Amino acid sequence: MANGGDEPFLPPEIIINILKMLPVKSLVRFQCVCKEWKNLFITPSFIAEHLHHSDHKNPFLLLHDYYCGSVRLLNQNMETIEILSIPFTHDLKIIGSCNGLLCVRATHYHGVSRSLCLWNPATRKIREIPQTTDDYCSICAFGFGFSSIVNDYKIVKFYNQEKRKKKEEDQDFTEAIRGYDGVEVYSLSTGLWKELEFGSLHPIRFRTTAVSADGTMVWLGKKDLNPVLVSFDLVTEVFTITPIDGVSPTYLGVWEDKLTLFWRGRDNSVDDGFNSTDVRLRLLVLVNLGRV
Amino acid sequence: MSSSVEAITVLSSDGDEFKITVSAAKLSKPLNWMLEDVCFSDDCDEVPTIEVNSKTLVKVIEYCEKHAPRANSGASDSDAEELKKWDIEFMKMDVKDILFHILMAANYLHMEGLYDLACQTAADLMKGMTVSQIRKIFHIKNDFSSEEQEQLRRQHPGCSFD
Repeated sequence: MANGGDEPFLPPEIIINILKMLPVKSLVRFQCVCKEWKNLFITPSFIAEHLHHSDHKNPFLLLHDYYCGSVRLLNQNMETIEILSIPFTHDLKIIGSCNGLLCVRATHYHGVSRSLCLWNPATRKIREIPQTTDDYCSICAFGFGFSSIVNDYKIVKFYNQEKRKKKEEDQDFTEAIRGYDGVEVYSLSTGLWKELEFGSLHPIRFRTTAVSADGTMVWLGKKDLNPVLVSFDLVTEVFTITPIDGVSPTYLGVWEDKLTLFWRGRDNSVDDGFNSTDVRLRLLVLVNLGRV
Repeated sequence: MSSSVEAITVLSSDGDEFKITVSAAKLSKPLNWMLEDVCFSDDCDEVPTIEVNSKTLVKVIEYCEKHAPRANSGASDSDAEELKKWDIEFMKMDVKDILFHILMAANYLHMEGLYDLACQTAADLMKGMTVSQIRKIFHIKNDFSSEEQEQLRRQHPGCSFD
């Protein structure tokens, strides 16, 4: 292989197996090898197998510096591997990431004032997600996740109809009630938004952006002033509200594809102290949330 | 030949004789079947042929003998670590020139561990190769028309067909 040219002809199944182990960047380069490879790389079965293989094998941290407008990839030693070139001109907000795919909210992209996009930095491909109405993204809450069971990416959007209405009637919409009163889900495989039942979620408020683990999106929120976890099963598209006893966690995270709750506090106390000295983190890893 | 046999003799596709221990042969289902055939055969002198050339078979047997103790008895984590390091060195130092032969042999002999290791090694080597080097080792012809190449270049600025 080092010399090249003297190698035996490999059967296709072996070649495909090797290609599955290549990083996306190499696949992008090697689609120029021949038509067969170019077509192979976009077949759903190859994509699924490639994903299955690369899952958890290349952990990188994505650091988005909002003020500099830079997005950097860091490795496990917190060293910068790459500075990503951003195809959006202004105001990029990362909603979530799954399998190297980023869900972002961007303004001034291709002249569209606000848009929701899926961005694959490795292939540099961008797919704009259609909007249902003028959404006033700044007041919406989003979640982005992937389920290997249905092999689909989904975006959940909480919105406030009252605010929409007020804006349409050209009234002072800052006076509209706060919080959310509607929710819809977008499926990448169907390319459609679907309205979901909001009823039991009322009156929900969110404290954090969503994290996604094990086919479930989770937000940290408040319902009737009580801290709750709101989880969304990407397969059944059902919301589950889990009350939190005691002090509300400060952050949500993901560890080995499981939801993790963080409490930030001083010493052994677990208040929300923002004193930077002697801050302790406590974490709890949850298993099977919402899959009772 | 009795069932207490500890090693069997096999022939490579080049006709050379190789010895492989019973425990090492267990890493491969086809080798294991051959072993059983040899053990229970009336014709004890029959030497089975393996359709792998000598240069490759030496390395395949070396891999089997190294992995046999762990595969047959299970081993501690430190052994697993050591074995992983050995695998990396095995792939780095010895098999680069015959990697594709190793791949075919591992596939033919149903040796999952060696197959995955060789596939990963091939993928790692490919990362540093140009498109024309890739075509050469896989015996592939560039079948894009100049229009199609131009279109791909527009979609992926900086992509190369060479």
